Amino acid sequence: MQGNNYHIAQQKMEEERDLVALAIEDPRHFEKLYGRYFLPIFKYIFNRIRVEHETAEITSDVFAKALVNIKKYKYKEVPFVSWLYGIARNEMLQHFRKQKKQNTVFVEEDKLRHFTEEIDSVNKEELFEKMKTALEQLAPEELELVEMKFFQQLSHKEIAGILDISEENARVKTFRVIKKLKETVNKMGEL
Amino acid sequence: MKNTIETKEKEISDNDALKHKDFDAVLKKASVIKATSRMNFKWVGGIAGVILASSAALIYFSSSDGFLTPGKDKMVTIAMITPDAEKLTVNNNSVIETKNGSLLVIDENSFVDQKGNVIKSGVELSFKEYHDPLEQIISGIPMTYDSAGVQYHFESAGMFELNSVDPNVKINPHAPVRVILNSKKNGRDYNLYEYNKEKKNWEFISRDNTAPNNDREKTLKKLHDEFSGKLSSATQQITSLKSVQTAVEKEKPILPKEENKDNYRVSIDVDQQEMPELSSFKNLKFEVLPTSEFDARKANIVWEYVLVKKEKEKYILTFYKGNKQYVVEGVPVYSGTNYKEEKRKFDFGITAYQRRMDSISTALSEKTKLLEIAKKKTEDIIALQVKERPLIVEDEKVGGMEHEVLRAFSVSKFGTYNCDCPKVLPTEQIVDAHFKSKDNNIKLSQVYLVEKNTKKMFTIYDSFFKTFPFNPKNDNLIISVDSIGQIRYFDNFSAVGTSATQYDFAMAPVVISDHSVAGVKKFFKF
Repeated sequence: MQGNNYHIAQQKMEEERDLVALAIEDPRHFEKLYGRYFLPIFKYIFNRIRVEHETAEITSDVFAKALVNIKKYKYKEVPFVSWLYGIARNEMLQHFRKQKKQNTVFVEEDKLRHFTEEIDSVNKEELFEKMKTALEQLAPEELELVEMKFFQQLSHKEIAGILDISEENARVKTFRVIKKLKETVNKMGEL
Repeated sequence: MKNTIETKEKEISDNDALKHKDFDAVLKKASVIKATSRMNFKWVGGIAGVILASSAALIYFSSSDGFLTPGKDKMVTIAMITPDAEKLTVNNNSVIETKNGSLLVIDENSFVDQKGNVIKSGVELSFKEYHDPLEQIISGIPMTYDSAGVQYHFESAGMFELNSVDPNVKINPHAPVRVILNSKKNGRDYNLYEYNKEKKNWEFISRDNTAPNNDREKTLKKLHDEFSGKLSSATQQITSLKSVQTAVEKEKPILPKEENKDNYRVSIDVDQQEMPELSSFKNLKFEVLPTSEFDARKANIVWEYVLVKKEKEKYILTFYKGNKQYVVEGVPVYSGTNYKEEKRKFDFGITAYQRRMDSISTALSEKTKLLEIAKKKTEDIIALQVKERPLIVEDEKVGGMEHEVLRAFSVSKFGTYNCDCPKVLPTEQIVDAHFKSKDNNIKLSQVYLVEKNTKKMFTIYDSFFKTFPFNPKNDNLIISVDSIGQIRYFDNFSAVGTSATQYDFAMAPVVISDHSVAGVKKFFKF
């Protein structure tokens, strides 16, 4: 997912607000928003689910629920897509609970290397081997933050929208997780 | 919950993901969720589920809480307008008329599949006609044409979109479909264009030389003349081929039989042009058949002449002298010495004969097929000629001089075609334009100037948004589409005045309950 594509401009957000208003009036207007965000939401879900037909079903559920609850979307300078990501996240959690599956994060090797480099550019090769283990030791909500911020490249504002927290809070939480990760890998090096 | 990190190869491709895009499914699912939450339904098993699912759609369409409220006036967006393409089930070799009075002439082999095989069964087509600027605006197809670097605006005399419902069906380029469009504009300065979807521009096909009085009656008469002409030509060719066939049949060589010297034989000089089947016989003699009671004394009579008549495999020989006559039956026999050579000549002759007969049969069958094709089309045309069709008189009101004119297109691939006259923007009055909604500035993505009295439409490009040209003498209307697709308009040009050089156009939204093309046309009184 190209997170930066969704750092949308104020003008676009206002247009989205109008589209949401139209969709409240007539659900057929929702098609434009559906068309605009189908791919990012599908890919966001696929990234976790990895089964195409299950992803399609969940994506469809996400948009259906968004449409039903569209009156609840509040325009507060949070992009509409963040609201959709929030619904998608809940749907996936529900899916994992139903399926009794463990929380698996799929990440491209390149992205994992890049992330490792961001943590420590000097010992990156050595760290890379330990990073997977360190990530697995994080709490699910901490891992989710890493995933959103570094693997899906969402902005703090978007993460805040998804988790329904303030942007500042999202920034602080991410910072703490990174700090914790660094400590974990350093301890692993000492052993 | 334990975490697992797995490295993966690649993301799913856009194309693979987009295969699952289905907005209708989302709408249905949403209506089921809505119904479930509204009904507070207690699930009691599978049957209840079925009842709920089937009733959900009904609830979706009858809801009055704003989820969907048909019948209620709403601002119209381009996306909301229901297309009104006509579905036509057409058979090969037919002439059909659309609801707007256009004609489609379909050939025997007009439709092929992806591999180029002719489709023999009926084909379902979608045919949409655009007769006024509003319909063209709704289509979203640009109505401008670039020629030698100059941009022209189409004054359309009719446009249509012909497609197959089944995407695997194509038009056979060797047997194009003839679309005779009821253009409803009788001018002569029109050209025919084809829309290139990829390049998003119009491509010139040819000049249109349709006579201004080429109405339905005349068109049908021309078609009738064309196909009844073909019918009569095919009939004549068949008659002529049949007479050739009869003549050739007479030339069928007869297998020579060796003479039997124990039997009676008569030597007769036969004109071989009259009896070509005997041409392979040398020293022709007729051997008298045992069925004839031959009187040898008759051989001594010098007969004046003899009539030879073929009857199946035998010949009737009638000898005449004065009022005397004598009849015997005989078969031709070969009296030479090289019978084998004569047999070889016969084989050669019979092969050539068979070849000629085969080619006549093939030609006959082709001509019969042409006759059937022409006959069927003629019948279709006669049926249309006798069918009473109310004239579309509203167009006659325009300037008091317009009437329907049928213009012919030869269509060798599905797509959009247009009969147009390129015009340049009016220059009579130009104002610095500022577009706004009731209270605020608005961003418009498309602006069109429509001259309702002349039915001309001009697409006003971004660069012209601020300098808006029009002719104040016309019945002008501005139709625009804003950034979210809403249709807005301005028609109060009397308020602009003829001397204004600047004007704030307050673009009102189109608010109607009927979101069909007809509904929008009614709103604009088209």
